Amino acid sequence: MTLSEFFNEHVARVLEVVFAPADALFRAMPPWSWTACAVALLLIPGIAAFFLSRDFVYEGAPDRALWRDLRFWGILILLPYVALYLIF
Amino acid sequence: MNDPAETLGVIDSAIILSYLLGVLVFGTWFGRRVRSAKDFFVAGRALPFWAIGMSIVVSDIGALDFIGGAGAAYRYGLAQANFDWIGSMPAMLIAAFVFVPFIWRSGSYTVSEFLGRRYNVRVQIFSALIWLTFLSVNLSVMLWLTSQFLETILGWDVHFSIWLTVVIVGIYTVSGGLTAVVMTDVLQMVIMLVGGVALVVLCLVEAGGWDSMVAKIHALGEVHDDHFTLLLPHDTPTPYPWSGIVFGLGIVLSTSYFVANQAVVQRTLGARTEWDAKAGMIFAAFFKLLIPIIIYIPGIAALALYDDIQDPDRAVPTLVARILPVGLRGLMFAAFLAALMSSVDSYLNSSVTIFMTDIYGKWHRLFKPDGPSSSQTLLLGRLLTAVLMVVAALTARHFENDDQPIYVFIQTAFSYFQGPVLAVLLLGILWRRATGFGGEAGLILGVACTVSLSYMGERLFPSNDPFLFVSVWGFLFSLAVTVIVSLLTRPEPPEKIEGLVYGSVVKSKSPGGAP
Repeated sequence: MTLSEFFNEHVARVLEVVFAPADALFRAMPPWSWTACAVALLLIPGIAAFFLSRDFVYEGAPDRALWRDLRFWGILILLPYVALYLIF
Repeated sequence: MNDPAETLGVIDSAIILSYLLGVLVFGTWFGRRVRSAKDFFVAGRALPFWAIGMSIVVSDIGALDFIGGAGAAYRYGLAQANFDWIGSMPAMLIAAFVFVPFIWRSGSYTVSEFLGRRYNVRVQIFSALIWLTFLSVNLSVMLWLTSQFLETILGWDVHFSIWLTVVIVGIYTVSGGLTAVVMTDVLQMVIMLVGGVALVVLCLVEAGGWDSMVAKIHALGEVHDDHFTLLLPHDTPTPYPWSGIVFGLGIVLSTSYFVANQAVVQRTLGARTEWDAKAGMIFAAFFKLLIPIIIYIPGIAALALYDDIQDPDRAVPTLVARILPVGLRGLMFAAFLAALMSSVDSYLNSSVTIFMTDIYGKWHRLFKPDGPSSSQTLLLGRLLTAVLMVVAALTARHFENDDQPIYVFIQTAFSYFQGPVLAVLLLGILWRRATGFGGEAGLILGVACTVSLSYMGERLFPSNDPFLFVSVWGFLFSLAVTVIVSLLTRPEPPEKIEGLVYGSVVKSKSPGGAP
């Protein structure tokens, strides 16, 4: 018996209990929800960055000019990505 | 089809030769600044954010993207762009704000060294061996693909192309180290953008504009209905189901790639300040937005213009040969070469850094507690760079008869490590209670899990190529194992993890450390 046969005969049957519902869920989800998941994945890190302290974000910067606030860099750069996933 | 080699004008050849000579002189010029191991491996920690950002992006674009990536866009459409969009942006923000500051502050030269300090030497060496194998094998593969590319479109002899690349990249990487690699990357990024934009504009003009291109492709039949759709159904016949793209690529594979890949992280470790390290990663995310436009749009345009191309990998070379005028053709070839050489120099420099820091450095300390001196390390680093380059050139020939299967196997096998590596690194930074035994168990059992799942891929997952799904489950399994084993073992002493874990560092210190 090969490793592949062993896994498929004995292990896959058990794992299907976990994976089959996830597979069914993904198949049932409508296309708008795919876009929602993608947009959420893009937005979450950008928004979460605003919960970081200013000290942490500016650490090492020569001054505290607004343009050096990397949280704004993140948001500005991710907006075109969000637009692409909403359009295409 | 016109043979591009036959249609190269004198001006094109002059542009290509000028580019090669220019890169060699420009890169070697930085060699005079290298006086210590720190200068060689982490550019003396003096890199500005703009150079880091451009270098990260151009190092990530190689032969596979310009030829294979554009070919995949010809075949599957815009979904190919997911690898540079959702497969980069969230991961790069997470890397910039969560991982890069801690690794930079630790003064480490490699991610594996950071893992060694946070967990133990076994985790460090296991991680180092994984990345060393990936980077050095990819070096050979890249040289082989480069030579294939040059043979196909310029008619150059395969072995001549390999050794030409080795000599040019080898000379400036040996003399200038990371500074030369990053600064030549900046030059190569500019050339790549100029050449790429020229190709996109001419493609779209030739296709009659964007709307006309879309209409022509949709007119080719139902099989191309999704050619301009980024997220494809869960059971799509393509390798890019939306579920795998969002959860496998977007969360696990890309994050692991941008936070643990030495070729990426090493640039941020060479930053002059922690702010430059973070800003460099975010700046790279901006350029990532443009990459699909200059690489994949030509592949898609090729379908609208020439829908009879049998081998999708010929899509872009066909465009270059048929629609670019003399002069621009030379510039485009220079852009291709820039993409190829920037990846080769980065992988070469990073492989040597991992070996010198995590393998040689650790081994040396076993016998001499002080470790090797900076001058010894610099000399050995340069020698090893030259040796590795020659070895990569010699082994590249072995891909001549094996075509793609070995490369595909290596890429697939490598994807099995990414989930576990990310889980261990994530917990190491965010959770003080993670222990050395927990990290070891998470890494080893996580890899065992992903390898086992790969045997059952076709039965458990909808795709014939289930690495996107396997990586997610491997990541989750590794997280669970690391947490459970850590809770069952003795906590690490606070002084050991001071400065390495979230909450234990307030201000960045001047990083020290030496391989």
